[in-house]
Amino acid sequence: MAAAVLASLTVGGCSRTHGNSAGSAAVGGIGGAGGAGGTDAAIGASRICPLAGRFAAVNPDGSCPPVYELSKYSPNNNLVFFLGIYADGSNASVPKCQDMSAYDGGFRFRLRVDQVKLGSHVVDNGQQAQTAFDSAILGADLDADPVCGMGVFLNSVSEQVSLASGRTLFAAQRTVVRSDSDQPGGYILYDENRQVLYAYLASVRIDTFAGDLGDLFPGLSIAASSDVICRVPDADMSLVTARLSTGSDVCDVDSHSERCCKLWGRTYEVQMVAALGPSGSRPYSTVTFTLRTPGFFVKAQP
Amino acid sequence: MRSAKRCALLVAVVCSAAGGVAHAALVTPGYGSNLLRRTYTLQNNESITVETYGCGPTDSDTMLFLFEGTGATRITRGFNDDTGNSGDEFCSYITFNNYSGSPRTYEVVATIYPNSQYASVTYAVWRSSTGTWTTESVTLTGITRRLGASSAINTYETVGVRPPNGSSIDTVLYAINTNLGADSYFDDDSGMAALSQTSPWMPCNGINCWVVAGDYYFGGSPTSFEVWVTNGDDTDSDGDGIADGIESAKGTSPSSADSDGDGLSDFEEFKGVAAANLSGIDNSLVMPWQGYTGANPLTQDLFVQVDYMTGNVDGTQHTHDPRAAGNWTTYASDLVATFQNDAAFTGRTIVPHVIVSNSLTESNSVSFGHCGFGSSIVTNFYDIKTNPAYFDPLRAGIFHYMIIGHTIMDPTCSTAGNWSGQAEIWGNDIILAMGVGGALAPPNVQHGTFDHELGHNLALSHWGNGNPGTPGPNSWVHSSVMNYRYQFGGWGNSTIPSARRWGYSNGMCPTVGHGSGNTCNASKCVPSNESSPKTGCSSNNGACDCDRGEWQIANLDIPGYALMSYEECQAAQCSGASDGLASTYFLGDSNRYAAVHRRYAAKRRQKLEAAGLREGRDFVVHPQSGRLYSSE
Repeated sequence: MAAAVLASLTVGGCSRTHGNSAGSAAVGGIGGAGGAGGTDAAIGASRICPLAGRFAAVNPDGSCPPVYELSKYSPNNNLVFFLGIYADGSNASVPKCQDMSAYDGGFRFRLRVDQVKLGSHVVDNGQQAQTAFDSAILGADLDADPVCGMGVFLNSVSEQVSLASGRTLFAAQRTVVRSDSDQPGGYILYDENRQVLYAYLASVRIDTFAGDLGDLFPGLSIAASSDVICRVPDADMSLVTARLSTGSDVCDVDSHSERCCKLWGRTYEVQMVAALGPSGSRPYSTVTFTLRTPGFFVKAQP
Repeated sequence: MRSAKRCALLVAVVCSAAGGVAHAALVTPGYGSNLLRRTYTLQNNESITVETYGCGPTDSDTMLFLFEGTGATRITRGFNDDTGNSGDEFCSYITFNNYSGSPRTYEVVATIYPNSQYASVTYAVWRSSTGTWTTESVTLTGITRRLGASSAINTYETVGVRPPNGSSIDTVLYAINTNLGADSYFDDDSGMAALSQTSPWMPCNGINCWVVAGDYYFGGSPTSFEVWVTNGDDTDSDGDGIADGIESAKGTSPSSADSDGDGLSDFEEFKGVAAANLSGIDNSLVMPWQGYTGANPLTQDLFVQVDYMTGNVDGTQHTHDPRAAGNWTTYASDLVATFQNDAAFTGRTIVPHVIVSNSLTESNSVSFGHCGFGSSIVTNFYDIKTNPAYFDPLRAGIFHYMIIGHTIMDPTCSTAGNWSGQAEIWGNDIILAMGVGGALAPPNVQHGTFDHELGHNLALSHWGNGNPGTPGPNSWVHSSVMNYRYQFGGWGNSTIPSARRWGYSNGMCPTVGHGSGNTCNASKCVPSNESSPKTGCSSNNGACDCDRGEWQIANLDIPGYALMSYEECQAAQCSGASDGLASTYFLGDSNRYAAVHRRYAAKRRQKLEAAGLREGRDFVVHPQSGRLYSSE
């Protein structure tokens, strides 16, 4: 599937000049079928939806910024937005579950949301203090026998979850281990209709996504452009454009950029943390990204 | 009785000298030794009498010394062997008056007589200023050597357990000519590892000259150490700082500076490590007689310092201390098992020394180089390693250094959390995570990754034997923890025979094909997790990757630092370097010294490629540090 999509790309020849205009839905020769959209209040208030999903920091010589400057272009990436699904910290309404392993197929269960706790804590290593905002979704694993307590924990430097208690979501996590560095993984929260509410997928190999994590995202295809946006100086690394598609919904997003797209007929905030082309040591493209239903995350209130 | 013993000893010494016996080095086995040392300040015209008594007619004898001043500038003011008659109560005594015209500091040393091993006596002091005696019961032990009647210069030194820096535990060496009543040579701690060394030459009739070695501290448990005597022949053929005679006596090779081939010189393993431009001694490295914690010049030693992060980056206080979850015992035992299993198959004995040391403040991720997120978010490995508070610079070039953190940052600074380990290949730096994305990995994944990344440090690649003709790293018959198949799930399979579950290279490929064109007859290959030959792979078709003892080519040396010349290091403003026996090492922020790192990486690349490894496939150059890391 991935190869077929790649074969259809016509990005080649597009000049990646510095400072592409914001708001353009087209990426090179890729059509802009996945343009930002949405009419509800959440979409309108989204910080991400007005963005173009373009990486505009290409130097005049075609190079990318050095590695250690790329973080400027990855706002809210997974470094500061961890998600974990643990039994620890679940509320006391039911007995605490046993932690489940994300390995060997991972897990998936119905999560009854009993309580959403918001807070913050300071990470201080003596050189730098950083406030992290915490979102704890405490509830119960309804698929366990007996029903037991589980929690979903997220933290960010700028955002918190906006979620009402009483809902029944679905939570899943999986890590596929092939080597010490080839370990694609995903954390997913689905809504009552099994639609993705929030997903974080890390180090996904384009060529193995279908087998690794595809069943967690029915209908989703991932591809990457063979054209390079820019090459990172002194590194065997290049940034590329990733394509997410579900049927006729197609979403092209540059590495280290954000935009909103339609997937499964719904609008999602897409954060392309990294979309990297093949390298000498990794002869395949990888992508790390998040899918967020607009309104699920809101600006944190200190 | 006592005179008879002395006579026998005298005859032996004279005969040895007269017979022209070759100078054989002597190594006196270490046993507890205590020298009593007491310091007194005497006023002008004040007198002092010190004595030992309680020596029975057949008991050990003592010697007393009284020195003016301390250290190398001391002057012998009094010496007494014994008071004469055997069987009397008194062993030795000195009476001394300070007529110098001013207060002076004096030191009294009491020790055993050379042909004794210990003496339980009473030590008594009388001072004219008080007019009273004070006494204490002491047991004196020691190591003494009689100087021969030769003009040859003998090197004496104490070797063994070193004191912690700043400790009062130390050794002293006296070379004494009792005819002159002088300690012609004295050494406190000029020797390596803060112990003592002296090369006395003085007129000596071969009868009354001694070197006395003892424990500086008195009152505590005796310290074990050895006295090495070169007996007039300081020849050092391999230039490792250990005389040939000593090496023969200790079992190391006089013709190899690194007898066991573990990258640590015999000198370092016997005496410890010190580096120019830095004071102090690394106390953890060399304790030759203390087993697990110390180096041994006759076994290949592998030192690893493990620091771990503790904190609340995810909002929950937790630690990545490998010992905290009760896994450390398994870590350690599995690591030991890895080496033992390999030894069983390869005959190569490697002894790991893993020392869990510091708790570090947790960040979200750890990277080789800074990633621009801020230090509380992503910790630069080298910011920690170059901080002496965590990693002793003396360990650089000798210890592998591992940080276990919450997650590991991708070298591209784009994704954290989906690495279980990163390692410098043929180097010494490792980042480990207990799992992926902050989630705890199964124990077998943790343990396998621990060994796997350490293997990279030892120049092992996923391809193991580095043979380009072999298939990929997941081959069934590539029986190594470097094989992903065994690093992760399959490795923890309880059906694998326990004696063969861990190893870098313990596959069985006993006869056909082994060593023949680097291929094997598949029908003879037995994967380490199976008891019968693997079927379904045939020879020479790329589907069979017969293990061929890759562990035997593992290189324990940490070559990076040695490949940087002293001049290079100085040019890069290294914090310390030695061009001598101790390892040259490099300190500094990876970005600041990027140019030097690149030169250093270039040299290592040449060596790796010469060993059959390929850039891109087996190793990559890190975009920031310029160092070489395992690929994938």
